[in-house]
Amino acid sequence: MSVKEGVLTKKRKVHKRPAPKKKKKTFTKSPIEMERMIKSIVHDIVLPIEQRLNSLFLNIQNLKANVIASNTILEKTGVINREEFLKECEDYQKSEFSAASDDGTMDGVFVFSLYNMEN
Amino acid sequence: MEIVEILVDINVYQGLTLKKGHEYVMVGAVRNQLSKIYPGGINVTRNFSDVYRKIDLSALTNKKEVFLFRSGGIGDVMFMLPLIKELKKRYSPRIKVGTSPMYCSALGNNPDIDETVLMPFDVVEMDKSDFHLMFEGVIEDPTKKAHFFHSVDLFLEEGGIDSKTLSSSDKIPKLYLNDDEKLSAIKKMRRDGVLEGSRKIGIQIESSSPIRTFSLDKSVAVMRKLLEENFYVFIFGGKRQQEVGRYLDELFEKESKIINLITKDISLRDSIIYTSVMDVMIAPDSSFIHIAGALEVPIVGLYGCFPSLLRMKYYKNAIGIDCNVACAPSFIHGHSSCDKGFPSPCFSVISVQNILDAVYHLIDFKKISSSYPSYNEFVDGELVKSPFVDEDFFEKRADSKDGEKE
Repeated sequence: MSVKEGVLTKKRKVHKRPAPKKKKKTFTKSPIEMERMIKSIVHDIVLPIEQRLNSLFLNIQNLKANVIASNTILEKTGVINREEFLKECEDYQKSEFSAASDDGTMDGVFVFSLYNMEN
Repeated sequence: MEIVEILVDINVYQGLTLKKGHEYVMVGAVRNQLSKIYPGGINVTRNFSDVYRKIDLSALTNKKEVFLFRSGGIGDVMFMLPLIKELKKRYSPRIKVGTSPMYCSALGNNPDIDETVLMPFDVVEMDKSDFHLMFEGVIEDPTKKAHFFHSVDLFLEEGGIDSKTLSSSDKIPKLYLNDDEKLSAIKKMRRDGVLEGSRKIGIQIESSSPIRTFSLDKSVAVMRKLLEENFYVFIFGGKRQQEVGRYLDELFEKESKIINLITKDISLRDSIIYTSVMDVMIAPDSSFIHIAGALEVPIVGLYGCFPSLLRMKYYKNAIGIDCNVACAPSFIHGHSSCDKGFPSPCFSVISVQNILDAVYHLIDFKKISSSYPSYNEFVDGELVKSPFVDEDFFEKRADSKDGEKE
């Protein structure tokens, strides 16, 4: 026990912490190199896969949109008579594809129609 | 259409005066405007049906006069022309045509038209003629016939002519330039500094209706690309496009190969003369599609709420780029923009490159088939190639035609 300014205090026993063991490094690359490696993996592998998946999805949607929408035009203009597409076109028109995005774009495709080419 | 008595002298537009005490025939929209500007100055008197004598082909001879009229737009006025030509050819009547003052000049030099009358016109003009044909509302027909037939076919049917008896070529409206006008076209090119042999691409920057107007940003991008290829670019438009014209003047201030006809404030007739010397005209679903088509200038048409098939299928060397989105074609007429936004979001599916590729196809730079495996092709109004129909579609069509012949 010690006396400090007339107050009796109990001295605490201080336990020393053991020295931390040096951990063996399992990576031989520096943080900068690690960062580069991760970026490279993302850029070369993950992103292409993601893009390909997106592209594939878009192609499927576009193909479907192209076929249905083109037949819609041809049906509506009386060039073809495709009764089996009429119901599908109505469903398609009510679907989420008929909405415009906030940026003013819309799902769909373009189609060229060539009229009376002379060359 | 209405018969309206004028109670005070009224200056309408472009020098047309409606005289007090006379009865005039006018569309309801014009009557509405006049009644607001001149309250108490006009009065609807009789029903139009009281004076309308629809054409009777069985009674039509070369001693009779037919009065055909449509107030506008210019393309719709031009849809009357194949019918007029056919009536003249079959029956040789006297042909009188009425339209708005702003479109009258397009009918100049037409050998089949004996007289033009400005709309609104005095009802006396109807009394003077044996038969009448009114085309207001034919394209806007709520029975949806217009969703299936080309506008020229509708006008022919309205006039009692079976459209199947005419060839595709006969269904192209024709505009006629005299020799002086053809010469003036060459002089205009020289005056504008256009080198002989250079490619000239026209572009109509806006449609008369916002819902059919293509994206200005993309139009500007198309122009820039054409300038890079060393083409001359002519910008077409009217009085309503003055503001965008001034914007384009500033944008292309240093470009000597841009000729902005909007800010030159030229007449419709001069616009027609300029169109006649273009190598390709790019336009939305609007007047210059038909002006170019009538002059056999190759066309690239940009279509959203109406299918290009119903407007372009008889024109030669024409490419329609349609927007295939869920809500198109919507067949919405009028002068409002699309309720989904402006420019109409459906146009977002047409890229700058699509338009350029269509132009390059028409000037033999590069064929569409090299970049786009899927497209429709029409000849004489009939589908001849399409990846979107069943394989047996053409066989079935041929069989049904053979059956009709038998």
